[in-house]
Amino acid sequence: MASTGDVLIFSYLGFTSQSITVGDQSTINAVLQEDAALLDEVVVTGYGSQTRATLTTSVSKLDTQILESSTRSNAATALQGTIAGLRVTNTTGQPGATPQIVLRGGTNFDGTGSPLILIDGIPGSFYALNSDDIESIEVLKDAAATAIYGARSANGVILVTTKSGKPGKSSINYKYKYSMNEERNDQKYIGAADFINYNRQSIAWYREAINNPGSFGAFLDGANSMGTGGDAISSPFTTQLLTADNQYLLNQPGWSTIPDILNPSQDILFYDNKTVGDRIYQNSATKDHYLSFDGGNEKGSYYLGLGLLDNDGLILGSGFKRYSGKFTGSYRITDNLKVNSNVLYSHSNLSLSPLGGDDTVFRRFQSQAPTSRTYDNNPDGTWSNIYAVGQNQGFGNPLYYQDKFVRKNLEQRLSASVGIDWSILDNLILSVDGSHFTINNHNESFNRAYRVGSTTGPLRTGREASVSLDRTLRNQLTGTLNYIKSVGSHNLNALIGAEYFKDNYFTTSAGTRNSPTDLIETLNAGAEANGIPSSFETEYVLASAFGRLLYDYDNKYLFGFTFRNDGSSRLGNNKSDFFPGVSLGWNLHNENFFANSNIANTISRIKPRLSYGVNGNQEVLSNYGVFGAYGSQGVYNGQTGYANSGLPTLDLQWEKSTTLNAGLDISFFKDRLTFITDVYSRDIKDKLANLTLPYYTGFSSILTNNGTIRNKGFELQVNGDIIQNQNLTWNVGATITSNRNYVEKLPKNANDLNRQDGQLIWNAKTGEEEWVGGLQEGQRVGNDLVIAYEQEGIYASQAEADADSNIQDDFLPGDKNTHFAGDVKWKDQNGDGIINTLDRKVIGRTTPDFLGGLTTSLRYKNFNLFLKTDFATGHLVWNHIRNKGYGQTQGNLNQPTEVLDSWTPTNTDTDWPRFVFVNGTKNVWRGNEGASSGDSSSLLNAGNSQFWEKGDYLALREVTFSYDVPSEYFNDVIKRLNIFVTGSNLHYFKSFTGETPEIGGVQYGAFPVPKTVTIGLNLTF
Amino acid sequence: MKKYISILLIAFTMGACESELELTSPSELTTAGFWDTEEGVRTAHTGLYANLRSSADNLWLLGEIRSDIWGGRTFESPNNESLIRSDITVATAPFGGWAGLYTRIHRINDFLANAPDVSFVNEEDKNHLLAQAYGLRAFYYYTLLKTWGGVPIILEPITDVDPASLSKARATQAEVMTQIKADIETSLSTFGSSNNFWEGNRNFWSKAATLALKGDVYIWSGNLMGGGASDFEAAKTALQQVASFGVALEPNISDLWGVGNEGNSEFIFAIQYKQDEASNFYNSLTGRSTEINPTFNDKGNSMGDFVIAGANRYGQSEKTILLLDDNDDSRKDATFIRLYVDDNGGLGYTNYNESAYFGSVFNKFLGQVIGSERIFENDVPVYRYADVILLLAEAKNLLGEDPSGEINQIRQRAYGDNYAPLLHAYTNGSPTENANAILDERYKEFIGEGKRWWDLRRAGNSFVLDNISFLNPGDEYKLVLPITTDMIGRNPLLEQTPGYN
Repeated sequence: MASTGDVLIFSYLGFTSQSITVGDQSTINAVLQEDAALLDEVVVTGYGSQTRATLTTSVSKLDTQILESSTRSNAATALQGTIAGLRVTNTTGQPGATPQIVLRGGTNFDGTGSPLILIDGIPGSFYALNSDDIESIEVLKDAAATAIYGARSANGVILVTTKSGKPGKSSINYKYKYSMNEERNDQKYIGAADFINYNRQSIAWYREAINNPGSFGAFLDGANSMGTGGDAISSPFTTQLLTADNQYLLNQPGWSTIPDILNPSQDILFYDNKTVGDRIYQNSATKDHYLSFDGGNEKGSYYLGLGLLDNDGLILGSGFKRYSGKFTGSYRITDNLKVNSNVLYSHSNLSLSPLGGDDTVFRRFQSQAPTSRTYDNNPDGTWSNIYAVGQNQGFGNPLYYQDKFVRKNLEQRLSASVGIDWSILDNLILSVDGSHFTINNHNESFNRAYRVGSTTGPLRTGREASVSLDRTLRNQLTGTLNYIKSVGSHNLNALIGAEYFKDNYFTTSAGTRNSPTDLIETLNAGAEANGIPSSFETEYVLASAFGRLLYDYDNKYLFGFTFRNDGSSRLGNNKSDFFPGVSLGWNLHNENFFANSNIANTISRIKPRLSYGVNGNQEVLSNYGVFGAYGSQGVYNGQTGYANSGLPTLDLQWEKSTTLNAGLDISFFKDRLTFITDVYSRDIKDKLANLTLPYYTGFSSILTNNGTIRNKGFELQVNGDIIQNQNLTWNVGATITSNRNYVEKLPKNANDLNRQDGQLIWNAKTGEEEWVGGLQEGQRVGNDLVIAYEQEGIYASQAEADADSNIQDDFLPGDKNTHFAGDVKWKDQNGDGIINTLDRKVIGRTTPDFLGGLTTSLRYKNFNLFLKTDFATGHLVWNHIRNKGYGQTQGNLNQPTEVLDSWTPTNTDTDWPRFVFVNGTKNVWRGNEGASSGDSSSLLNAGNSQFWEKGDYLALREVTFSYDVPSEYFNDVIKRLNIFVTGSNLHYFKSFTGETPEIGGVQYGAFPVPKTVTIGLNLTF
Repeated sequence: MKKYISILLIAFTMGACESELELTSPSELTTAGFWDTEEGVRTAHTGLYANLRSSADNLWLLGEIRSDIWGGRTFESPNNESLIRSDITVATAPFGGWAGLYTRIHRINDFLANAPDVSFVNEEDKNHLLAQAYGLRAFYYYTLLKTWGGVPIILEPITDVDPASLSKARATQAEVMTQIKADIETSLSTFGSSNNFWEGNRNFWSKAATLALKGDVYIWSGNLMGGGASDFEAAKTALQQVASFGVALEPNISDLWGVGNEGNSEFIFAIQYKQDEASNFYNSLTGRSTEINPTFNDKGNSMGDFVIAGANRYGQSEKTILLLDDNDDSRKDATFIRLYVDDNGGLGYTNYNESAYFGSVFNKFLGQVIGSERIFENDVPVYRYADVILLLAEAKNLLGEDPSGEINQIRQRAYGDNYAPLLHAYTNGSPTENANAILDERYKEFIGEGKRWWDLRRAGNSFVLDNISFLNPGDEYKLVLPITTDMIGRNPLLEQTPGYN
């Protein structure tokens, strides 16, 4: 009972506490304001939440304003550039696809490692998750924060919390967004006349270089893109010798002739297909509807959300459609017993391009020759409306093949949980939550009859139909006891819990063939089984006990301790291990001496933090791998054979990553300017990684506890409220991250520095041979190293080339000492007169040095302008769309425009080598077209330095302009009406010639994220 | 109260879970229990062959691609040109990782280490399986020896990986040869009197196969490694035994090839292929319908209806075309379909016409057309009786005996009704003439079967240099391959093949 004059303090997590002096009123209404300051925000920490003011670990929270505007077929795209320490890479523009997410450099040697993603506490993924259902996303980064998730936490933990009803408010909300997606078209190609000239010349050069005058005759005379074997009606390519019989085609637009560069006495007739690269595209738009109802009172709350997203992808046949439903409710049955339930459901159709993978579509289909035929010709030379077939289904006319391969996907995801919270005693709450998560992924495919070569070519009537069903079941039971108590200035929050988790995966597939008709796409019409029907099941179990103790004294001295004891079925003799974390913080600004000093006028808050913790990582383990494997070798003589394909490794231990994290949260000018900084060093000990083995063992590698990796880096998050007036606010936020991975320790072997893998090259500085890359103790992890042959120049004339006849180039196809004008003059690093693998040089890495983002929000009255950018610098990219075109190892690819600047007898002053068929003189790359870091001949280790590009970019990721229509217009029937226009992925500031600078390393051909313009409205009743 | 609850909670989880964490895999085989039963051994036995089949394309390349058979006109980008041209440097060393053959050997070693302890209903069956495995291991090491010279000898499955002691040097060629011969003898003694083919099926190794291999190996060791006459005698004896195993020449070539004739009695050991199980790699010696359908075969018939969806990565050399351009020899048409850009006014091209020649489709293993698709499901022989006969000719010639009987046996079959002894029969000549006659006969007989490079090598270096235009005196070191720097990086005790440093 409060008496007059007492001061009541109302406080609630995440709200500014309010003091009211009690007068003579009998009822006191206090309306709490949500905390605006970054350092007061509530962060979900796993099995609980905390305000940042008392947080001692490293946790980042997504500014959910980002989720409001763009249409997102995958919510994780919102994380790009907004969370310090997180590298989010859009690896494809396929609607629905989840970007690659790596925290703090990843714990694997190759820089990968996915964070554990928990959606309302249930392990899941961002796939098919409706971003409108999301209340908040937190990223737990340091080991002390993640240790509560023990064995799954080494790569960080992302906690997604979905929306729930709030007491007091009841509202209906409707959102609609409509987006138009546009292709990027950065990759430029040459036209048909140049194409024919350069390619025919390239074959002649090839023949000369290899001293085989008959090579590739079919590419000069046959039905190839630069060959003269085309016809006037339906051949895949339009190139043909001009004759009296076909010269009528010249009356049609786009047809022309050029003299054969190899035999000017004959003329080549061709059609210049200027839109050949656009045949992979379709109109692309996204419609996104969302309707929600929420409300609550002191007894209970509810939230109901319904969504429909329909996204036609940019490339033929691609798309993503999702229906989603969500219900969250809670009810207080008695004063000390509360039940809650949460259901998330999605039903989605993922349509991938029926033409093939992203690289097939963008490197093969997009890069088709400009002499390709799109429609058959009528006898009078005009175009018919019949699609030309092209060469075949892997390299034909995308428009002809687009409806030949039917691919259907239906996925249902359901997660349902029920929980009770029982206040056993004052301050003591027992919670029990049970959850079930299921994914049913159903795929059907059917190949209609199709032709190859031309409309008169053979008809393939295999009509293969297949079906597959993948099912994931995850069950989790969690019990926690939470004790919260404040005595005087001592504040205590203790939690102890136990959890059981089981993941079961089942897949089945079957197919038939030789169906008599295109009209039935299901298996039943097939005449016989196609292949062997199959089903497969696998599962794993985790059993855990965990706990947390948070203590602070007077909100000044902060202490946290967490632990988890995890047991996993994936390990053999060492199933269980203990993962603790401890953290300290000091709210310096709450000290009297600080608060009373002048400094407090400038620095409003300052909190140094220090944490240390241990995490495990079970993602590197397969379900039964430690028990050894006898893998299927296929069917022989009617029986399935098995053979030893994995050695048992029962003694493997948990890999443990220990992170030491030091942080400083500091704000200036009454919290107007805030910095959250972290520096960390993460040692991944007993790293579970593949140890490369000598090949005589019969294995190329074995999973072992293979040494120690160290990730070192820093993260900075800045927030500035530059202007804060009634009518005008301007906010700027930025993140920046840098990380490097080092090899600390490796198992002893016969090599220096216990090296594993690596490349032997000449070190010009020491004048000795040296192993670089691979794994070597004390050095940076070498798996992302780029090693290349250095182009010293181009032989401008044959005299220059002949002057180097004392140089032996081991990679030349013909005589090793015969060089040709226009070919690359390679730098002989060790000066021994021989160009071989020793003459390579380290030129950079495929992972960025720095990455981050900048967001800014400007509000004037009811207008808001929001802008988001992200960047990465320091990574190298090999654009294989361009470089394979330049190498022409496919034979019928179009060339990038760089070829127009390549060496020819009349263009001798250039950095671009002559264009030789099938990369014949090894100007573009000198080995194979693989991308393995362990293979000395792969593109990563044997490219021409000239063809590597810097991936540095700054992406204009989002610009949103929105307007809140004043609610008084609607007499408050409508509480809020917000309309907006958003541009997404509008522009990359970059030097890279391709369209996807985000992806470091070898890009075989990626589906770039489209440019998107969205209009939308957000309506609340 | 909270104490009790927490204790309960923890006790519940920890107690219940230790047993919960023991799972058995529903769909995968682990080491647990694999070798407990006869069925385990039998499925591992099947695995050895499915595994061998995975190496079939490499075995073909290793045995043939560096010979003079290929390197001619193709109508798609050719493969393995540098091997065809013997353009080999350390920087471009092919078949890194020993062409994967040690994976096969590991699995045989695993088989040999575990199968003997398993009891069989019929112990004779077990011995047959073990004898097959010894024969296969000898075959793999023989391939390694021929390709790289000395290689590490591994006879036990690796069980424990200690990075500190993993590095292992090459054994000498002589040691490897000794091991091959030991495995051959163990195979023969383990077969004992089991002269039968496993389940009557020539898709499995057999005593006949071990004897054929023995002949092959002993000629090699006799001629190239100083074994001399005693090795040739051993070869001859082994090869002469093969006929007693129900093995014989098919009466004519057209009966030999084709899916329908796989049960022939000429095959001694053939790798099995079947639709939905595995398809052989010979589709890359054919082509695509886009190029083939507009052409004509040399009879002047349109190829328009020819069902094919392969690739044309290898073209027969002009030398091969001319060698086979003999219309009396049934191997001409059995081996290739020759494509011409026109039908020569309906006459076709009875003999090779360079200007109209477009390319060839390899005809031996063309599979069969089912529906609108060609299924490459021919079994591919590793040893067949014609091989044994001509190996016997080699052994005899090396012993100073007359090999013409064996040579003519093959010619007679090849020419069939056209066989005219005056025109076609071979008469005994000098050892070098005989050797060249045998080589030519084998050339015509075994195109595409992974033999000719080994044949030239087995005959001696001078025969290789005489026939391979890309190799000249001084290039002898190139007859064996270098190893990659990656192989040395993983295993520092490995030394580069002599001549490549």
